[in-house]
Amino acid sequence: MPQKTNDTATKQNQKRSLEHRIRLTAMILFIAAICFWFYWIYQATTYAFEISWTDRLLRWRIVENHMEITLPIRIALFSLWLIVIALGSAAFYFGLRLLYCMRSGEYFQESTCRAIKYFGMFLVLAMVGDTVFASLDHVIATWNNTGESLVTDKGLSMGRPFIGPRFEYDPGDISLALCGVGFWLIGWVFQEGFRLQKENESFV
Amino acid sequence: MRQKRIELISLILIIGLSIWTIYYLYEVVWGLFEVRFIKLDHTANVYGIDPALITTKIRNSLFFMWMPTAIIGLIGFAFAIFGALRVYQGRMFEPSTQWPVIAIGLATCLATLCGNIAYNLELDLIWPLTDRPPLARSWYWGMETVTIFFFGLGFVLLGFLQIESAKILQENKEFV
Repeated sequence: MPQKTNDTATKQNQKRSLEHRIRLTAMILFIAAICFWFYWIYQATTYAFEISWTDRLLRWRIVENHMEITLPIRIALFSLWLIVIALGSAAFYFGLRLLYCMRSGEYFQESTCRAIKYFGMFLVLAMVGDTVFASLDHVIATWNNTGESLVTDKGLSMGRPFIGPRFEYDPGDISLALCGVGFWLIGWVFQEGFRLQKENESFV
Repeated sequence: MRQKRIELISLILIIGLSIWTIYYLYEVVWGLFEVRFIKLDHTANVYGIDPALITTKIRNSLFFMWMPTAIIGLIGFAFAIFGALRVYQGRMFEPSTQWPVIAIGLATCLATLCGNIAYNLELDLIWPLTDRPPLARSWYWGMETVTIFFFGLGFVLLGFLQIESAKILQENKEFV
């Protein structure tokens, strides 16, 4: 009998230790993720702003220097990257929700499963957006190109051709999208598991 | 119906991961060998230096510096395919499916760290051979490195979460 009590106590201690580890890791990740979110938003919006509203576009060497970058082009470029920023931020939000749920000890709850699922889903969408829009921004930027060289006050401005849609990808984006599908799938399976548990409980 | 959909998504993931692993084998593992031992001018061209300065010793050092990253990455992919296969088989909450999720996370974190260390060591090794001014910083890291490292930690956490969930489900099953 005392042996059995000792075993139960050891098991409970192990469980408490694991729980403590999960909560601690979740809390550290939560703080780090918030800091990283701010940093990411700063970096991403700075990039989107510079591309759309400053002369950085001219330095790409795909836009003719004598062409004026029109307002619709600037708005289109800015909106394009804002969509990626919004999708990425949604992924961050659900990631933070997931970490908060874990930190609060809600391991196998509806909210946790949903957070995992949506985190994965928005991550996939953000990475797909990043990949697709990266090839679209050249199309938008070179929309007004005439292809004719022109002598200006600053010298000869080379004519450049219109660049049509072409596929380019960043391996990092694809890796993150695959990670996203993994999270989405795990979240989905967890949701199913949670549903089964609820059914069992109602049966009891 | 839901079960079928989960099976379909996991099948898509397995196919995607398999294609990506083959690409990774070609691009990273073979690429690592190719740029160090076949396209001998590649590294010199990247840094804009005389190819004669990249001696065999430097070439070998670069190869072995990047090797751990390539191998750990490959191990991570193997675990990811194994995990997705388990989900496809509907064995997500079995004890044997818990460790691959933690292993994916650990492999991701380790590969990211090794890659970052290798990149900085490469800079330390090659930069003095160039005519350029000394590096402004002693350590370089990209936003992608941090993001993927966080993902690794996320998978580790998910693995622990899975252990807890499996325990709850098991307890319920026993009770029923």
